[in-house]
Amino acid sequence: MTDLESDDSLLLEFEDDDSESISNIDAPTDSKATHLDSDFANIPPHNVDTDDSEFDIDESQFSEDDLEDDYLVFPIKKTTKDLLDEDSLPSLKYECLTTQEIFDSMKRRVHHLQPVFSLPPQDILILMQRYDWNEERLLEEWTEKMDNLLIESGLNTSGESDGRGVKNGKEFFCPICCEEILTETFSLECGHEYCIDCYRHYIKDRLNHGKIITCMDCSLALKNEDIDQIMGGASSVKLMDSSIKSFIRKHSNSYKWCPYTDCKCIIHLKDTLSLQEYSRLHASRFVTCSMGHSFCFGCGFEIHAPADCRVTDQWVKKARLECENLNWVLSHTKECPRCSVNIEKNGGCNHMVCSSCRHEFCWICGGDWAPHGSSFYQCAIYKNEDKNKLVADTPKKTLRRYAFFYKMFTEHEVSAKLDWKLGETVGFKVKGLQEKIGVSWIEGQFLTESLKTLNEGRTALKWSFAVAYYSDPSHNLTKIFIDNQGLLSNAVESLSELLQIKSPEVIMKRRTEFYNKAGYVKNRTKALLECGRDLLRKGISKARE
Amino acid sequence: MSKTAQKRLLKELQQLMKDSSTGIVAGPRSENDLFVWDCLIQGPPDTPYEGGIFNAKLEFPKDYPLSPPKLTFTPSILHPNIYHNGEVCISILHSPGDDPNMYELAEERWSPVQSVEKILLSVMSMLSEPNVESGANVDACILWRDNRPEFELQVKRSILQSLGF
Repeated sequence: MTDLESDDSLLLEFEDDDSESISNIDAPTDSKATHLDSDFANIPPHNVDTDDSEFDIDESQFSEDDLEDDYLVFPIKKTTKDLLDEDSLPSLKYECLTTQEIFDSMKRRVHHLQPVFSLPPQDILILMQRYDWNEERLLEEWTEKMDNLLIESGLNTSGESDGRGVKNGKEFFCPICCEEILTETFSLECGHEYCIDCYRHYIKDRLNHGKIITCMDCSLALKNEDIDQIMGGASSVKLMDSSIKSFIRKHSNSYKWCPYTDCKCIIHLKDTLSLQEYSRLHASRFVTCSMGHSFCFGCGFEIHAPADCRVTDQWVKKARLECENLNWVLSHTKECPRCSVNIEKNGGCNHMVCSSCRHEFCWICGGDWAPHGSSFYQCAIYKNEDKNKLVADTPKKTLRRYAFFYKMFTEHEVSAKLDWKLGETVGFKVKGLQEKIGVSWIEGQFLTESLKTLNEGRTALKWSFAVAYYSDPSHNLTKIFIDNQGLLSNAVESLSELLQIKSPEVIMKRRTEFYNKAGYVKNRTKALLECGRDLLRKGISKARE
Repeated sequence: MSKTAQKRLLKELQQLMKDSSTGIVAGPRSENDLFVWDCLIQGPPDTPYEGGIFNAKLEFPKDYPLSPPKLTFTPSILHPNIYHNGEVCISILHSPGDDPNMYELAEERWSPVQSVEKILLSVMSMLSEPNVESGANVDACILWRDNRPEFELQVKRSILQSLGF
C-alpha cells in the first residue's frame, strides 16, 4: 500500500555495516526517491516529482491528523507557554566555570583580603589554601590567633628572607639521595638544604595532592614562586589546579563536575536552597554546561525526566543486578520474522524493512508494521495478561513484568545512541543543503533543532519506562501515563523516520513536516514529563527495592 | 628513582651498622633485595612489652624516600595501634597527603628526611604510649582503656609464648 521505498539505507542492513552494502540496497538516485509516509498510512502515495504534489501532502496531513493540527502553530523554539510552566519551579541559578576561572576568582578574593592582612599576595594564597579557600573561617581564625596562624601555616614571620631560594652549584652531600656531587641546592629560611633534584622529585610527587607543600624537614611552606623557581616553569599552576579540585570535592553540594568524558566544566549552583523545593516536587535539577552537556545536578546522571533521582537510582541498580546479559541479547541482533535473516539495526527508527525479503515490521514487537502506522502505537503498552485474575505476584511474573519494562528501556536507549550517530550525519546534511541548493546556514538549522528535539523525546521516553515500572498499574493516572507514552513513542518514531532522509532536495521540500513533527514531539514530551511528575508526586509511582 | 632508593637504603644501612640506637636491629632480608628489611625491636622498659623481642618486616616502595615504607609485625602483637594482620599505623608512616582530617601534625608525618632509625624509634615510643584516639585494633583500644591489668596480662602471656615458654 504505502510506498516505502527509501532514498537511502533507510532502516537496516545485514550485519556487516560497511558503507558498500548500503549502496547495494539503496535506490539509485535522489530524483527517483519517493516519500515515507508510514505514519499516515491512509494517505495515498504521492509522486513528489512535481511541486504541487508536495503542497498536496502537507495539506492532506493537516486535515487528516487533528492532533498534528493542534500543534501546527507552535514553532520549535521555546514558546511563551513553556516559559510559564517552568515558573512553577524555582528557577535554577547556576554558572558554568573552569578550574582556571575559579582560581581567578580566588585570586580576586586574595586581592580583596590584602588590606586586612597586609601580607604579600603569595602569603595570603597560602593561607587561603590552608583554609580550603574559605575566607570567612580564615578571617575568624586570623582575628583570634594572628601570628600563630602564620607560623601554623608555615609562613616566615621573622621578616628576613635570608637563605631562601636556589643556590648555585657547589660540592654538596644531600642527605635524601645520599649523593655527593656538584649540584644546585634549595632551601627556605630554615636552612634545610637539599639538592635540587631531590626537591624536584619531592614537589612533583606533591603537586597533585592539592595541599601546601612544605620544606621536607619542617613546616615552612613553599610559595608558588619557589615552586616555579625549582621546577623551572609554571608548575605551581598544577598545584593551584589540584587545590581547586579538592575545593570542589569538599563543596560537592554546590559545585559539580560535568560527568561527560573529558569535559572540564564545573557547574556552580548558586542557591542550594531551591534544591529542596525540587525534590519535594519530584523534579530534578537538570543543568547544561557550556559544552552543551546536560546532566542531573542531583545524581550526576543524564537527563532522566520524568523519573526523579530516587527512581533513577533504583532502576539503575536493579538493571545492574538483574540483567547484564539480558541487555546485550535484547539490544543487538534480531532475526527478520519472515525470512530469519540476521539483522542489526543501524538507524534510530523502529520501522524496519528487511532488505532481503522486503518485509516491514516493528523492531520492538516484531509484528507487522501495518497496524503501527495508525494513530496509536501499540508497542508501548504493557499488556497485563492476567488482568482478570487477581493473583499475588509470583516471582516469575514479576520478572516477566520487569523484563518487559527493561526491554522497552534498552530499546529506546539503543535507539537514542543510534540517533546520536544520526546526528553526525545531520551536520553533513546541513552542509549539503548549503552547498547543493544554497540554503543559508540559519535556514538549515531546523534539521539540527529537530534532532535535538528527537533526542529529548527519546530520553524522556526511555526514563518514562522506569517510572512506569514502579507505578501502580491499576491506577487511572498510570493508564493515562501509558497512553502518553504511546503517543510520544509514535511521534518520536515518525520524526526519526523523517530524519533518515538524506537527499537535500527532499529535505527542503518537506521542511514543514520537520517543523510540525518536531513541534509535536516537543509537546508530547512535555505532556509525558508532567504526567510522570504527577505520578511521583501523588505517590502512585514509588521506587522500591 | 629506584636507583636513588637503593643508594639511600644502602647509606641508611651503613649508618645503622655504625651506630644504632639501643633496642633496634634492622637489615635487608637478603643481599639481592634491599627493599625488604627484617627488624628486631626490643620491648621498652617499664611497659607491658618489657622483655619481649618483636620481629617486624619493613617493605620499601620503589620511590623511597618520597613515599614511606610499610611496617608489619610478624607475628602481630596486641597493641591499640597495630592491626590484626600486624600492620603498624602511626603518623610517621603516612605521607601528609592522606590524612583528610588533619588529625596528625605535618611534622610527625612521613617526609624524605625521615629514616628507618626514626621509624623504629617512633615504634618503640608507640609501644610505651599507645594512641587510643586513632586506634587500629579497636578491641585492644577498649581493653587498654577499660581493663589495663587484663591488657598487660595478655601482652605478657603472648611475650612468654613467643619466647618459647
